[in-house]
Amino acid sequence: MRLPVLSAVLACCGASLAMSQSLDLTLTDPDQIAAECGGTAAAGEVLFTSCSACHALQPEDARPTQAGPHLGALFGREVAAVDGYAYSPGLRQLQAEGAIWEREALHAYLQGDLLPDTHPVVAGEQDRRDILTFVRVATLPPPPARGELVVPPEVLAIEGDPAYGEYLASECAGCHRSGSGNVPAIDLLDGEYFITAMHEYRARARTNETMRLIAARLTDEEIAALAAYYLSIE
Amino acid sequence: MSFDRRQFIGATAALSATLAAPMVRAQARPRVVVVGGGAGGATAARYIAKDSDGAIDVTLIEPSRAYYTCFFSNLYLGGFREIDSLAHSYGTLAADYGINVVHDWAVGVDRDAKTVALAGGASLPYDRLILSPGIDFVDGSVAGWDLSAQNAMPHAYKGGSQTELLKAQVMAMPEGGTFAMVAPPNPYRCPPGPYERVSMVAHLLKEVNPTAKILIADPKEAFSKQGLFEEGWATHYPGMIERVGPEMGGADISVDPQAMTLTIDGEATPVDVCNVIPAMKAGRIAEIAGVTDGNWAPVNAADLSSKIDPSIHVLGDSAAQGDMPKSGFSANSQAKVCANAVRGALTGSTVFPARFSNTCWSLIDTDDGVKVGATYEATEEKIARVDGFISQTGESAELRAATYQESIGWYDGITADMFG
Repeated sequence: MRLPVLSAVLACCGASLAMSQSLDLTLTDPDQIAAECGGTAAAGEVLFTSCSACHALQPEDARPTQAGPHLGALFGREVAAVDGYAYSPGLRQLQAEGAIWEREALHAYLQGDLLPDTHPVVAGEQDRRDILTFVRVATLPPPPARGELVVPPEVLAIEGDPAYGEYLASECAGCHRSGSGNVPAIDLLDGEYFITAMHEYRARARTNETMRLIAARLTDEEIAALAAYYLSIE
Repeated sequence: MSFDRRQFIGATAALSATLAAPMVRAQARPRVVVVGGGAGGATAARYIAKDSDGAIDVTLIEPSRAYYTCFFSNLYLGGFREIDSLAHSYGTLAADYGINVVHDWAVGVDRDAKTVALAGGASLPYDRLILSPGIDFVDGSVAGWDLSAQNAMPHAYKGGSQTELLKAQVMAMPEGGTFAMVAPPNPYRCPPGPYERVSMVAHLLKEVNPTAKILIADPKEAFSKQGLFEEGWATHYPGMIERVGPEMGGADISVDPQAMTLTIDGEATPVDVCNVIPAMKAGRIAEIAGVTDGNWAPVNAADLSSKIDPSIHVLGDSAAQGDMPKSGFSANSQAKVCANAVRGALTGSTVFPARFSNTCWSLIDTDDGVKVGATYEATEEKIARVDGFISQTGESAELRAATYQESIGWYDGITADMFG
């Protein structure tokens, strides 16, 4: 999702956000999220104890006594999306404009720079970063179902380096071998199926934890390199 | 695969000629000598030979003609594997990959002359030496036990005859007898290994001797997959297993192999089987080569080269590398990074960035498999953990069965990756 709205909002608030346009709301890897948010989830978790009286992290944990909405899938969520809360006029205005939350807007909101409302301000720059890192990791939306994920054609079209793929495949060869077995053979798979499966593991749409882990640190280019190598040995 | 079998038969012939007069060399093919034919050494030898297309002479020194994997030896104890299914030959590495497999002990390393001395008297020159000798035991780490007592009180922590001995002793236990284990201090080979072994012995005893007891003396506060094992023991083997941790004297123990007693915190208990797993250190040849610092051999993360001698690489259990556990999977993973780097250094082939991974599977009872895994990267300082996972308590029987099936697939995969 890309937001047409918050830039406008930020401009009208006069917040001098030199928008880095780092609005990639698809991140799921905690380390990448930490790098993007510039914080530490563990530190944010400690700080979040000050927030948890009013905010649950997930919808199922929300309590009626809490003054604020749950934060489930907050990054990429529409402003004031959870019904039943007394949102400030400023938030209602953003809601009317169809704004969605992303990091820089949330950071500005926590800083007290986005809106003149009564939401508590978090004074420290690093504290804000840590809290947002923690919240983003802790409120990641559930992974897509297997088969739901569509690998974009431009990603499928990446030309992989088979020599690099051969090196990367040595990691696979510790478990996968040619022929049938209790761990499936992967050397003769259809290229598009292989690439899609690896993207599904990376997006956690497939369940095997070992494969999720292996796929988590493969880039699009590395998945393409593996596919190119396996195709080359057919 | 891109390599050509005929090319390697040629390579073997050339190498045999070299060996006949090891110190007189006219040819310039770079030489790699690998000491130790386990998950680290066999993998490194195979990958260097396979990927260099004969451009590198590879010699593998391994005393055993048949290699019995230490991993999965617990499944033999539990009755899930035959001992023969754990044995592997080096024949394919010699015949199909052109590796000169020498069944001998490496007994000396001359780092200035770059030669390895063998017990049989030969001296092998190297350009790069890869040491992957596994573990040896720290003398005196268990009071009352030394190698001369390993028949009365087996360690069974190197695959093969010790494993068979331990199983025979369990089978011969009197009804209602006691199996004792002296668990090792950190760091040691296969962190979940002792506890998987307890599970497998319990499984066997439940079938053949259900009133028998298992007593563990453990110097460690906590152990790998503890929650998973303890959950499994309570479910499958209620009342059978007692673990004495350091707070109850588990670190203050001695054994008497003649009297067959285990003394914990001053109190002697008669036992019927005593599996003593001593403290561990790098395989002796690493110490002889002078590349150890304390019990282990410090290495650089990017290529597993020794921090003491850049012409020597140390893989697997012997290496002090950082965050990876000492496991067959880790050794296999490190071997491939090392092989890529060694080949690059000797032939100028592309060296890709190091990346490591590990998964350790354990079997608790029939179809009740669990696993723990992580990925690692090379930093200036060490091999550093990136990310990981562990099986959860309360998982479904289907998932646990699938995890066990996956471990069988891994065994077939890694042994094919080691031995061809």
